[in-house]
Amino acid sequence: MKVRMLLVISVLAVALTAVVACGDDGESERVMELEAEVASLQSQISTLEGRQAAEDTLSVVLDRGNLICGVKADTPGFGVFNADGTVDGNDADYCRAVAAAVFGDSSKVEFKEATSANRFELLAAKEIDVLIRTTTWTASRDADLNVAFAPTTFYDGAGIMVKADADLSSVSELGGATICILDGTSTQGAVSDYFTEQGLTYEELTFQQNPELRAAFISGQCDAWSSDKSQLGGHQFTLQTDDGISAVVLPETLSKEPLGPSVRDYDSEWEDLVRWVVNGMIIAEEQGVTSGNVSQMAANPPNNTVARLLGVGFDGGAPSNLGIGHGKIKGTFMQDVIAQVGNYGEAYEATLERVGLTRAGSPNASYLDGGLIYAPPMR
Amino acid sequence: MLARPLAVAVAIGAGIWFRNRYRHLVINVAVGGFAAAFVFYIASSVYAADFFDFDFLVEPYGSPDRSSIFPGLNVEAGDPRWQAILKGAGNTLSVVVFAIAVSTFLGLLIGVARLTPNPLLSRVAKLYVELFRNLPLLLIMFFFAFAMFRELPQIQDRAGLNGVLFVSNRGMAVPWVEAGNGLWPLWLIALAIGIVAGVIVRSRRMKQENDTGQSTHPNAWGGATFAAVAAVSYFALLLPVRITLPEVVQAASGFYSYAGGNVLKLGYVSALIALSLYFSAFIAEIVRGSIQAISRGQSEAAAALGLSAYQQLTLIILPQALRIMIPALNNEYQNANKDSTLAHAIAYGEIVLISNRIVNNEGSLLQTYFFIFVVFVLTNLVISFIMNTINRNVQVK
Repeated sequence: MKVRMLLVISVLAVALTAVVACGDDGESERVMELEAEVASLQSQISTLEGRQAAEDTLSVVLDRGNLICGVKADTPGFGVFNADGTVDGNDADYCRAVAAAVFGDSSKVEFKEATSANRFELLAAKEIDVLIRTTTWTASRDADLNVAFAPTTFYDGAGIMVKADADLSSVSELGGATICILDGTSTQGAVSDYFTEQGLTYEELTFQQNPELRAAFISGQCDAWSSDKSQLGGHQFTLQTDDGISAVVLPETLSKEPLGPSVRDYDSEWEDLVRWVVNGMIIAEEQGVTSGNVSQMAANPPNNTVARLLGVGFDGGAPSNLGIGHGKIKGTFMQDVIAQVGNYGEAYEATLERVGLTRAGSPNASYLDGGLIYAPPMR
Repeated sequence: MLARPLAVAVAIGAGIWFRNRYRHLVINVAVGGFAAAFVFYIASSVYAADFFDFDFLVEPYGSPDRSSIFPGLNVEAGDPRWQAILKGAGNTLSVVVFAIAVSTFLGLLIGVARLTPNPLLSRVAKLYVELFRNLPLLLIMFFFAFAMFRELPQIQDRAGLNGVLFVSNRGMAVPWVEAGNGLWPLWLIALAIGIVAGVIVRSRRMKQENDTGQSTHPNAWGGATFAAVAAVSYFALLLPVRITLPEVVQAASGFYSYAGGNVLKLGYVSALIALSLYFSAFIAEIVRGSIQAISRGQSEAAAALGLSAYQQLTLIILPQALRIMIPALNNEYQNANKDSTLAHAIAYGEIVLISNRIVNNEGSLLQTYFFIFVVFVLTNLVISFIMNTINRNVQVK
């Protein structure tokens, strides 16, 4: 009885203090102003600190002895956590490439699942060193989220898939079709814009989740399935393997979704390293350097471009120093990357091509073949 | 050492606490303080969220949603967002109104069936109530939207009554009305006049019947009056509406779609059926309880007067049970209104689904959800108002 009374009295006392603290208007307003000022100063200080000292991911990674990479766990071709603990996919391969550049060993990667909801938080909280998870490069992410984007590794965009027996070859023939779309995605807007511009009519059928959408597509509730092409590729693959339904992804791309690795802002050394690992893999493909012939190329480079890519001298000259990693990593880092992971085309072939994302004729072909994959010169 | 002052303090505290005046003061101040702090907290987060920035409402909605049963309520990509939200509210109402009507009718039948002496009928009714009352509403919706209707024929099979009605896993195509000329609003007014005239004629005949004891067929007279007004005005206004029949057409792409008539989309049909089944189970229980609350003497007296079982029910029992039912029905109708929001999970374009897309594209969560809040408060107040009016009219005066 006494204890309960004491409890009640103490609760009331706390409540009263709260009321009194809220009560005095002029005072609390001044206090709030001051508090706001202090908070803004604190945030400025932490931003400055963040810019100067804290961001040296390369040293952190070297000290730790492995790279922690945020990837997708369930998207065939991009990132899949297998039952035996291995991780497959194109995104995972770029994680391995960065590890190979830093340590000379592509196996020194710890993969961490990043969902669309938590990916940027993981990056900001330094729980991952680099995020390679089908993340679209947009202005607002670049500017507002304090994220820096490395070169695009996959040019994605909303696409449309139909069953093969519909015998269609272009979105412009789709007039009057019913299209299944996941609700709340940017695909809805992309399809609406595209069809309106083309003067085509369509019916939209939306779903909250992929399994229901997939069943609707199979049962003929809708004629077409629209999503990002990378996703459609995976679904096309499993439709064929699990249900024996052959579907085709039509060639048109309805919106821009460039996907690539991203790192934290204000860490240009680390950003440069990730950027030039990707660029190096693209240049290696342009120059015909593959995992098979890289050691031979390094011993006897055919031209200056290859020599600089692999960090060796050309024609008996001294190797040129590009300055990537400022001496913390080897000048020959691209040799390890190409030997252990391959060039851009090899990585694409091993992962994305396998789930039906045909490279030839797509924006992901090399610029030499009319695609968009192009790297600035390494010199 | 410490025990003594503590005991004194507790004694003083208890002294204050057990005097009503002080205790009420303390409680009032504490409750008031909490309420003020809560309001302040809400207000500051509302202010922080740019709550008064409503510019986003005039931007286009961005993607179409054609899941409505009334073609005018389909959201088009170019509609401003405020209009899309209003259409979403219209879609909510167009499922709720019909669901309330159907579930009341079903609930009445099943509630009465539970009390019949026929053991088969009453057990089937009990099974129905126990089944639908105990299933989650969302599950019933999923069952129809994702399991049942997916197995319907393909659209190109043209299943149904050819030329009048088609059924496929894309929905049900039914005949519909469309404007025949610009005079159709006048015809709607004429119909309203017809209803009023019919009601007046019916009540006149009724009064005559009550006064003289001669049968005057008031219902037939009222109906005929309405039909006459409707028919005459229909021709006088040069056929203001006409019926369009649905058909299955094939586009150049080879894909099939419905044209003409109107398509009842599966999202709507699933939501309507699920809401009707679910709430009819609750209403059946209300009906049963209300009937059982009427004294047995009433039906015994009615039987002694020679009324048939049907007459006992409709003339003696139900009118009295109605007085007990209405407040409980008010609750169920308001619940049906609110629970219709679950239909967003089966892609029926009710207000929550329409609004969530805006939140996805734009943010503005507080403002958008504020409209949902307003719509449901208003519609539930209207339901309450109607039910209270009915309640007043059926009470013993």
